[in-house]
Amino acid sequence: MAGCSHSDRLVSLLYDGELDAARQRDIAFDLADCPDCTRRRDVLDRTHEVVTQTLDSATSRLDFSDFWTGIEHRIAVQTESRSRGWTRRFHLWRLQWQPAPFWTWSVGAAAALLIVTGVVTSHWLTGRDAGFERGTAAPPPFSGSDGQARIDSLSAAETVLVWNEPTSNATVIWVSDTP
Amino acid sequence: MSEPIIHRRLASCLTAVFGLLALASAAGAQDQPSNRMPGGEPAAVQLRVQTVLATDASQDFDTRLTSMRSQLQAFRYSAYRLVQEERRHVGFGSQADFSLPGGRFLQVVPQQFVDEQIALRVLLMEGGTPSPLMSTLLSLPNRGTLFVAGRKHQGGTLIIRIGASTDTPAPVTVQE
Repeated sequence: MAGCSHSDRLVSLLYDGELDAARQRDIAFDLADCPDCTRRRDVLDRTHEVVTQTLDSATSRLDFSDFWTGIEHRIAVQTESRSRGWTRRFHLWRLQWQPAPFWTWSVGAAAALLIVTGVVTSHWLTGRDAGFERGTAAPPPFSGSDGQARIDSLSAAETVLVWNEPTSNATVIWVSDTP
Repeated sequence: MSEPIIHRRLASCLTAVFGLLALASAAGAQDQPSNRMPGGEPAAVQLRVQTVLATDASQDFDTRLTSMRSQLQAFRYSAYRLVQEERRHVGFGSQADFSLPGGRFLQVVPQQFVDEQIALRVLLMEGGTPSPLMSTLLSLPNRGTLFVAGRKHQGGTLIIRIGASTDTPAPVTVQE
């Protein structure tokens, strides 16, 4: 006997085919002697039957005769809208963005600001003869002024810092040893 | 023996001695590595690799490093000790391998000398990894200096000073 306290769970699993073969055999033998399990199985049978009937009747009312015609019409409309002029496309683009909430504009503005800041900072660092590289081979990252080294290529497995000591005109490549 | 015969023998002896001296000096000149090509361009580079251990454990400054005190002080450690120094006379296109403390390995290949600039390829290897820890191609001014630093060793940091010049070589090796 599987135990009536577990009838809900086990019978449902049996009904859904989720039990292994041995377990299925045990439950199937016990179902006949357990009123709770039998009742539970009957409820599931009835539910399945009602759902199937409902779906069948709903599906039979649907008219699929224009299904492919409708799809072809949609495709034709989209193709036509793409082939129209740029004003139409701009209008569509504007409509696409119209319902966007205010925060999307804020995020966009912040991203643009970050990009501009990054570009400006990068130019500023380049102007100060500073280079920073990690990992794979890089384009010429560093070009010192007169009397200093000019680095044409630099690659490293670790973080690398490059700078010039202005007082001694020495170039330093710092290969970091910290993970 | 008459006087003219003595003079002739003395003259021939002197000629032989000077001839031998000339031959010896010519042979010596061939043994000495020439630093200049026939056109006057340098044929080789004098590489000087000094490995310094920098720590904050004390205030000691190795007196052998006095000439580069100002350069080293930029690293802002309190103590500097010369661990090893090696000078090599290396032709362009040839590679010079330097074993460094901690199983590290430095390879320097002088590539060319243009406009008083020495093009060098520098590789730093560490451990058994086949790929270099750092690889760079750079141009140093003649008698210029490159520092490769940052690797940990014996509680401190290694500072490798690489000097390159086309001046006449003076081989020196210092090893602790």
